[in-house]
Amino acid sequence: MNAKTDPTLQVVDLTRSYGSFKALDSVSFTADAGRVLGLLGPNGAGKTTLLCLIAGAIVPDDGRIGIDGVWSLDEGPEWRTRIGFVPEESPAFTHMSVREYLDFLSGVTDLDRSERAERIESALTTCSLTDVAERRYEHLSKGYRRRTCLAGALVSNARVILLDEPTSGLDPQQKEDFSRLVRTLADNRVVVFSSHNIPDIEGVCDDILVLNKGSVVASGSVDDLLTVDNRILFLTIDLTGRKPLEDSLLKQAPFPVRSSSVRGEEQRIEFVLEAEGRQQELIAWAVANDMQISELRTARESLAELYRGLTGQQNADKAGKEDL
Amino acid sequence: MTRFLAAYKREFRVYLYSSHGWIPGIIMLVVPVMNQFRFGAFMQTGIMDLSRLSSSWIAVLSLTVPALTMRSFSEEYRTGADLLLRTLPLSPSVTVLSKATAVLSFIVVFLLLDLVVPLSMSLMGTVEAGLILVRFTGLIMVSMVLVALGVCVSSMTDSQIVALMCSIVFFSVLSYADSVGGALGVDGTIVRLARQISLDYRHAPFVQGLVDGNAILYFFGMTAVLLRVAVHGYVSRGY
Repeated sequence: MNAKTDPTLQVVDLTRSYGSFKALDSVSFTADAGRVLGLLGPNGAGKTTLLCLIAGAIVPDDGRIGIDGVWSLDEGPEWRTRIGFVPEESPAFTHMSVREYLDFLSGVTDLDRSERAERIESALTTCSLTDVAERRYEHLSKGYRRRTCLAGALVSNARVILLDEPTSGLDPQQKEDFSRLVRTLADNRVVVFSSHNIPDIEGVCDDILVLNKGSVVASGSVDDLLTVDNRILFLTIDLTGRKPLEDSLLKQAPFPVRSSSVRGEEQRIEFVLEAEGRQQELIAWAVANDMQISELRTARESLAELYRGLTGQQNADKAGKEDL
Repeated sequence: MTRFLAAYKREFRVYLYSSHGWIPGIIMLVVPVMNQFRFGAFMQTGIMDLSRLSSSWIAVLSLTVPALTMRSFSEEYRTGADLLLRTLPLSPSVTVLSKATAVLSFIVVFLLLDLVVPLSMSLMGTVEAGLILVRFTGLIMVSMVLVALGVCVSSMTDSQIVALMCSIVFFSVLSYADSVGGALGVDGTIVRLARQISLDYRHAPFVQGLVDGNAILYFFGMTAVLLRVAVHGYVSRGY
């Protein structure tokens, strides 16, 4: 196979057991550069084991991992220069400043001194760490620590960046900033983003791999996985300076109303379409009743619903909301 | 080599920037000097005898080296920092060797600082430079084995206390193996074997200013074996 045509990351039949417990069972998938792959699954699904196997921290019982057509078993520790790993727990290198930490991580690659210095500066800039570069790791906020770990993954020639629960403990603003940063990193790399936080995954990932009990239960692009239900229509109307629609008016709508809720200055109404292609009737009704339409769209299965269906997780929605 | 140096620098910084390194360091610096000048009644005797400096170093090393090495791996196992190390392009041998070398060089720094004693004594009279050099070499050899032992124990547990206690016990056994045999009245092959592995026995020629080739082989051989076991311990503790 020509290396240029290979997917950036290839995982083939990866299996790993701990004693009699099978943490991963024949997991296979591929990922291309420029994409963010979300790894979703309940606790114990095998997400961290999968990341550790890809990162080379543990050896698989069976299967193999390739990056740009080079297989992990063909090379020794050298192979790990292709990977940048950001573990769930921040590393306990508290005695180091951000710059020293990056210097250490770049030092274990085979880059020459000037290139290392360039990469460190570039990583500091990319992750907005220049102002805290001389500050010791232990004196950084959680957000900056996560950024430091991410910068650590950038100072090598990593083609694959593995993020294990990267947004845990971050506030909403930090999460947003971090997600934006992750998107920019995926320009010429594969980013694997592991999380149990569904909104985080949905907001940043192009593709999703759902793991349950060590096996892949779904994989594909977010758009492909989330099926569109054309029978359900969501109408959102702007209520600025107006009162919410009364039940009597809703009963006059062309289709049955499934639910209606008011959030701030908006009212969201869910209709059940009785036949395809009748959306215009709803628009005409809304215009006739002087409504300000903010949004009209068909329903799409949420990732939380998909996840719940695949893994049997009853609290998927709740977990997602709590993490927001 | 670049990778080794990067890992070594990181390890050395751990000791340099933490009380965990400085407290044993200060003990290494102060106790042998105090023992030489204060408790040794050095001034009263009027003889420039440096043997007390050497013997107190052994006692100090038997406590401070386990205190330094106990965190080599145990602390990282406990905090999970070893996971990141395992994802770096470092072989287990390089990881173990960088940790051991960092502790050893930290000890050597304090050994060198203690050279101020013979240097100050040289102002008062003649000091045998050769004898001091051989004793210094002997102390480095003993430190080498002790560090390897400490790192080896630390690679097998995530408890620093267990690592500390086990290192002290193993060091005592290794150090006084021949004396214990003699004290128990055991004779013959066991005593001879105990003597062969005894640190005390192997170190004795260096105290007397003699460079013993067999002892050097023993120190390097023992260090190599212990570090090899440490590599095995580190690998088998994998995730």
